[in-house]
Amino acid sequence: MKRVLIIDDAATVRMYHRNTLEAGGLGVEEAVNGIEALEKALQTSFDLYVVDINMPKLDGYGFLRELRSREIPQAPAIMVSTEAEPSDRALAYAAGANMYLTKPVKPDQLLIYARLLLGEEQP
Amino acid sequence: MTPLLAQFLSEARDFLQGIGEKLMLLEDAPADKDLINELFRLVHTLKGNTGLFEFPEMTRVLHAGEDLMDAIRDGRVAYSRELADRLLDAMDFVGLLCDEITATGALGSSQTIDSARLTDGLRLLIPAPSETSSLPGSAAVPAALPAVAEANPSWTMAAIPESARMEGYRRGRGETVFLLTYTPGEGCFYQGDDPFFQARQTPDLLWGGIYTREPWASLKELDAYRCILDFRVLSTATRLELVEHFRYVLDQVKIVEVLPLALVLPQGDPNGGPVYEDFVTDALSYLEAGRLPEFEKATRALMELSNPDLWLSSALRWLLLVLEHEPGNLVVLRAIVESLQTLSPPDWGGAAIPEDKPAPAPPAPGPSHLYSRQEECVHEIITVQRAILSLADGAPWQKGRIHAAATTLSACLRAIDELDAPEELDSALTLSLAANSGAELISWLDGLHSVATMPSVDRQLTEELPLPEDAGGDVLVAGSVPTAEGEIKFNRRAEDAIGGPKSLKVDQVKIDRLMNLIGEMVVSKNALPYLAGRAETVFGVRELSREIKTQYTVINRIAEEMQDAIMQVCMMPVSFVFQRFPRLVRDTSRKLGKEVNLVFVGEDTEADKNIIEALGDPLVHIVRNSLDHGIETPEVRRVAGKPVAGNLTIRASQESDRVLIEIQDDGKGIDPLAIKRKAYDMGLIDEPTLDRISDQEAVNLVFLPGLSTNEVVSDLSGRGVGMDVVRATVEKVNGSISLASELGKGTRICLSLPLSMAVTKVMIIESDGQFFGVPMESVVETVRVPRARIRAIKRSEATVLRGRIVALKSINTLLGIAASHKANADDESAVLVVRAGEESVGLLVDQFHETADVILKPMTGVLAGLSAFSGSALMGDGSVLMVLNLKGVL
Repeated sequence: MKRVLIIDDAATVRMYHRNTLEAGGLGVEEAVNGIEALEKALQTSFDLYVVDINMPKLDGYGFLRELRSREIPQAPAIMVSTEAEPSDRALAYAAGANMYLTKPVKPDQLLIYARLLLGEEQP
Repeated sequence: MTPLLAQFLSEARDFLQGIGEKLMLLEDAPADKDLINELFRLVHTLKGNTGLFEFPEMTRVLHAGEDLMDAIRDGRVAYSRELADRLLDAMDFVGLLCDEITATGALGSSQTIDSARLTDGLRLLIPAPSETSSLPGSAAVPAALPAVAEANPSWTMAAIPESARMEGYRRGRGETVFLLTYTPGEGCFYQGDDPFFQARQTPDLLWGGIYTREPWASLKELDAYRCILDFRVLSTATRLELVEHFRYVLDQVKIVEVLPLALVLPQGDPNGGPVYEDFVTDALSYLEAGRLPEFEKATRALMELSNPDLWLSSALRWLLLVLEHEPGNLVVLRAIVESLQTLSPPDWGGAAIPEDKPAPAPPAPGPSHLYSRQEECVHEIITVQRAILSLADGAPWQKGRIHAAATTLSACLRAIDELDAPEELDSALTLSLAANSGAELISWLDGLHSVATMPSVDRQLTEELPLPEDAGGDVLVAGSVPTAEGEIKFNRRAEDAIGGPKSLKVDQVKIDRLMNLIGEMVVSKNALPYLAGRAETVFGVRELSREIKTQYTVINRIAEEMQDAIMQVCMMPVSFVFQRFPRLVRDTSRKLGKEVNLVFVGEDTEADKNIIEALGDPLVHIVRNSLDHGIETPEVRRVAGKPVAGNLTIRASQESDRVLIEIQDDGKGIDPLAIKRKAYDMGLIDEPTLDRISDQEAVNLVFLPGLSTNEVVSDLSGRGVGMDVVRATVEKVNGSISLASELGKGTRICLSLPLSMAVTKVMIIESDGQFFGVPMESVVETVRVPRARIRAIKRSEATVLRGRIVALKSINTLLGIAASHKANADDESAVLVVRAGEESVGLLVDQFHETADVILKPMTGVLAGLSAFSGSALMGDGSVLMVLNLKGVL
């Protein structure tokens, strides 16, 4: 089973994404901030990251920069945020995100991107 | 309620709590950047959460709150108390909405007005972005927007005022101008949309207009809640910005790119003005000869002669504008001049107004759209990866980024079955990584057949990555690139995080169930000694009896430890109730014009959650009383020689199995004389009592129902409903309350509460062969009094214990049992000394028994009316023990 790490400080959002991804047959783990996410990512490898921007301790950009600086298998990352400025988008891609979605993300939208980034065929 | 909604509500409450706290902290440190950031993050995240549900009232208020916090964060707005008030109000409102959702599972439409009011209140505090307000075009908007034109199916650019079009034309030279038509749904008001505001807030607004879709109905038939308005907006923002701005209503929006020429549309009164055939001839010949200065001169000359309202003047103004901006564009100039002959707008050949290009469709639900959606997504993913690969900012994580983009491409192509030669991708990746540049991968990507045949991807996607190669580094530096030092710091932080305590969030109901179960366990294990007794006495098996007893001690120990552990789970610090006080004290004291310092001591003292919760209302009341009646206004305090700001201290501590809460103020105190007089006037005490009672007793009269010393009834403490209710609430959880006050110095109220109320310790007494329980917290001592030392004083009996007179009452008399008391062999009576209010009373009983932990079940049904008993409890042997309510009995 492909494993996705959801990184968001809001438990509601984590649950929302989890519902979506699990319904799509994906394994899900959660982290509440960039630091916890990085710890998890360094321990085990994930196939996809779903990353929030605004988080305490280490934000989404910081997490991605750290992640991409490490010599580990680099899984795709979807950045999800309420920020809609083009500059945020550019910053996200520069930091190492591979897709940028704006909240609120519709479940089927997230799932389509997640499947594509995981190399899975659509049902 | 779905688990997601439940989760949302629970988390929302936490966020609201946090926001409230942070705002209070911010009051003391209005410049604290970290605090402001944290506050922004909380509001932002909460707003993000609401976006997952259909709670427009909530989202709207939070959105405004977020924008306001953003403005504070950017320094555009300074923190002020008013601002904090508004934010707190807004958060209270959101809390209210949460309550409503919790209760009914949805939001009624009744909150819409409040939501709009609060939102406007917050928005008012945000200054308009300066670049928008300095736009000449936008100055005309407030006037232009409310002017609702009649239904106009054949809408043309001419409807836009010339000044706005001219500005659009000027800016259109370098930027794209978009005409956006926003057709909100008829029921949009019910969905929480605010189309006017939405249109008004369009980024880089040049002009806006409102049109009705159909003629207005007569006032009698008009349905004011049905939106029949269309909004048109001219803006120089990028298409992406517009799409983002209208992202929730994208299906109702049409965005059309307007070529600058389409805006060139002279208009005005076609009649009158100077004769200008000569001008047309001259002008055309000047243009022909390329003599622009003469052309301009002639134009200006004619313009001076003409009334500015004329069609002619309008055309001349356009001529000058075009001349200024594209002097080389003779075709356009000629067309305008020629249009003067027909007085009809120049025909730009339809090229100026491109075909309506609808905005990118919002994500369409439903499986039927999946395939086309997927195709779009694939295009987008590949385009983005290409852009990522072409980034060359030299970031330390560039290799990782390239690697991730390659993984993404590989996955995406695999998903659509287009990855024919994965090994080619691998080798391109290896080369790219070695060169630390995405060039190899890009050329591999371009060589792919499937990608090459893709329709060219929307331009906006590539626009999203403006990052010029040199500027890229700067942007990233600003975004806190981990430097060598940063790395070390970061690692340390990472380690800190591991050590943090892990906590679980558990539904209260589950804990309550656990509490009930362990309570029953504690009681039912008590059946074992009885069983042991029966084994010996009834069945005569002594060995078995001993074994049961041995087992019992083990089970007893485990049960007690378990009970202790579960009680620990339910323990929470009193700070849980204290945390609402900073806000309360602040709001109340401001309303009263008083200054108050609030001090907490021992906030981490723990007690059972139920006790803590029961503590909330009484404490609020006491604190309000202190603020309202106790602490004086600054002037009065100054005259009295006290510090201007009053002190209010709330102190919590633990004493054996009780929690003590002390609320002390240094206000004016309670005047015993005033209280006495008042109580006497109200008939609460009689004359002998009036003369007899001490000052200390007098101030405790405030606990009598209906007594309020303050002549002016304020809206805060209310009319005398207060201390009696407080006492009743405290006593309901087996607590007690006492008050001490010194006139002019202040008042101190002391609450004593049990640590836990799940299990009650009772002393079992026997009278006339019946057993009763007496709560241990009211038991002072047990004594045996020789009959000779019981004296009759007037009509009652009393005895002297250690020099104090203790009134004696017979439990039999109190409960209406006819039998008289049995004394023991030494002719001594058993006396249980209990606390009744401030005094001690001796209860005459037949016999004392052991104490026991019981679960007190309140009396229900017809028994609920019996004031003599506070409840019943099941004993280990299966019998029922009635527990006395001493207050009701005495």
